[in-house]
Amino acid sequence: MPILAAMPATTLTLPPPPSPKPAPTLGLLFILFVKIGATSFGGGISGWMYRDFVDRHHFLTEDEFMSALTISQILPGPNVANLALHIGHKLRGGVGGLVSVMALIVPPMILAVLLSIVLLDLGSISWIHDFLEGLAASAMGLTASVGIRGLKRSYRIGLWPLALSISVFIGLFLLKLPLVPVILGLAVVGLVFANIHQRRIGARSTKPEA
Amino acid sequence: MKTSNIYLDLFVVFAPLSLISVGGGQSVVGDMHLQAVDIYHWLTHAQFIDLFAISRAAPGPGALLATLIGWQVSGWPGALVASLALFGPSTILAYFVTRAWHKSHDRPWTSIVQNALAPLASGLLLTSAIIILRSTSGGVTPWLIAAVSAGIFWRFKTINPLPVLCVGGLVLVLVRLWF
Repeated sequence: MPILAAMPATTLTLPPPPSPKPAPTLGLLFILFVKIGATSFGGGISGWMYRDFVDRHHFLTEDEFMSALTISQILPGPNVANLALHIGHKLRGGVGGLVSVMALIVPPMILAVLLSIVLLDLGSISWIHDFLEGLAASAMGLTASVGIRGLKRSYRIGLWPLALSISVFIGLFLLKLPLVPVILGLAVVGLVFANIHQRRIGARSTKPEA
Repeated sequence: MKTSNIYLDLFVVFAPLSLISVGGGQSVVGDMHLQAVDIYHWLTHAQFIDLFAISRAAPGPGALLATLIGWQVSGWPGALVASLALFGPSTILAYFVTRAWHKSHDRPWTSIVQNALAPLASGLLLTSAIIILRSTSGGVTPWLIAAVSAGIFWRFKTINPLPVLCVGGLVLVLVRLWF
């Protein structure tokens, strides 16, 4: 722990972060997720979860959080709900998982509907719609930047990921094919290519040892 | 596939999206638009854009858009049904995968699945962005706002999005006021 060693001696009176920290109670889990869900204006929820569960309370190690993040991104559905389920399940079992998801999504749902009631009531004022449309356009810039970042990252392992991304666009946007069969079909193609890729790097990494 | 029951319609629309939304809720916004505006005529283009913007500015996951569409279609019960349909199936799947995950520590398949699905997520996100931008009420300004925002989010990875989104909204208000 080079960071701890570099700290002034006074801070060392604090106990070092122990790895098997006692799990939080269901109540604390609930409070933490309500707070994260209801205050995360504009998104960035997984960052808040990291701060609370790894940095502040040490309920999870960084590795545990990262592997939870990976699995929640692989699974379909809202990633942050999957992440909350995974963390809650790890710390407090099935009930913990359920409590965490509900605490994360129910308060924002109610808030969002209340916000809609207020804003759409003002909808006769034309600039409200203009404002929301500009906000939506900006949000689409955010979505696109995440997509482009993904393209760049997966391009590193070859050309086939790029071809898959373009196929999604062609299938859904240009050919207007239905979403479910397009994604299921391309997922199978992706799994075949990813499998071949995995074998190749497996073969490459075992070579020096052989 | 339209039925006479509005709640059944909401469920039939959102439940498949729950299980197909690789890359998170944002990836299926394009399909939500297609279903809610073009196929079921629940909302106009403008209403969809309003609800989408609110779902992004409000706290919580962006997938709350489903809640808001359900609410617009038939009030609080509609909001409940749409939310259950969008969050339920994926959460149930995540529960079982999570259970298996915590039992077994042998996970060579995760990087295979990740490599296979990441390109689909990227494709879905970009397709959604274009579908939604195309449904804005005309003019090149929304596209420019999106392009500049994308540049900002590309350059500053950890920036809080909300101020940027609000500036995007203000820019469009000012542009429409003056031109």
